[in-house]
Amino acid sequence: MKKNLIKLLGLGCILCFHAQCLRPSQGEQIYLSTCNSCHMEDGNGLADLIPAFQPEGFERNRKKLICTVVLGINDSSTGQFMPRYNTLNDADLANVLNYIRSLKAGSTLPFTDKEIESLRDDCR
Amino acid sequence: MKRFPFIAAIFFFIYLGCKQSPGPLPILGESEIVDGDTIFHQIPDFSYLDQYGQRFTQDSVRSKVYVSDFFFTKCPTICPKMAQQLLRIHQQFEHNPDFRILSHSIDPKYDTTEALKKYADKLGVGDSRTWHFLSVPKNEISAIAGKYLAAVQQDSTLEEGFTHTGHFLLIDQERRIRSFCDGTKSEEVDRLMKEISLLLDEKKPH
Repeated sequence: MKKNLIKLLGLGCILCFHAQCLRPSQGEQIYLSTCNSCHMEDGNGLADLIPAFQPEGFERNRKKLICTVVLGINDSSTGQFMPRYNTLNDADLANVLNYIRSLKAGSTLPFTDKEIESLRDDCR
Repeated sequence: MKRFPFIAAIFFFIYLGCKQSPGPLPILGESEIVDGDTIFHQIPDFSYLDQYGQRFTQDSVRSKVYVSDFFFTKCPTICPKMAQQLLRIHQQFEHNPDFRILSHSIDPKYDTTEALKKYADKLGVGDSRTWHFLSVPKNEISAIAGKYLAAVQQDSTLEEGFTHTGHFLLIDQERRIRSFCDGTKSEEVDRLMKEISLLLDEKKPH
């Protein structure tokens, strides 16, 4: 009886663990609800209209990346447009950027909410 | 061996069943009967500027099959997915002289001829003679959208107004609505592409 209970508990733990794994991360959730409609599931965007995410941006232009999300793009000379997402808080922004990083530039340094906090105020 | 005719008959009927081609696409929208003749819902005459700055009218689609949708270039919600699917349709039918795509912009303030041309360029269809991006004057938007969406309005979720349903409408050679689909779903667009081929064949001389 006791053995069975232990087995059952073990099974329960495995199932819980699995559910945890399967649940989309916070970053993925934000990506799917906010970015996916334009940038697409794979982050490849759409032709030249919505360019694919570039891994270099995650290495060298981290501030520019953060500011683009916060300020959006509205360039009538090129016709490039992206809405601003300045309502995302630092943690959400870090999570979603890390999700995109996992899609396109896995080996680069992860974003932290501290990094976002220190950089986003300089966006203009 | 005695059973052979029986089995053969079954196979014969199965063959007949498979061979039967699907009937013609229905004509959608409200129709009325005038003096004994059925008058079907038809897209009225129109005249807009396209991405080349040229006037595009009902004569530009005379005797042609076309897909129509409503969008605007700055739309960050469903439009990119719709454009992605329209690109598939364009790829398959761009060389057919009897086929067109009409994307109606509902943001005439921003979507000038130049903005529409830039958008088309970025989609990689900047030189297309098949896909026309049309700037609809503000005071005509709801009327023309109503004419196109009359048949599908019941299904639409009216989140951002009826022009934002993301539907593709399939229009025949006589400007009648023959089918529609959700322009954000690739499997529905697969079906629409088959129906485009059906319509194009309908008027071919046999």
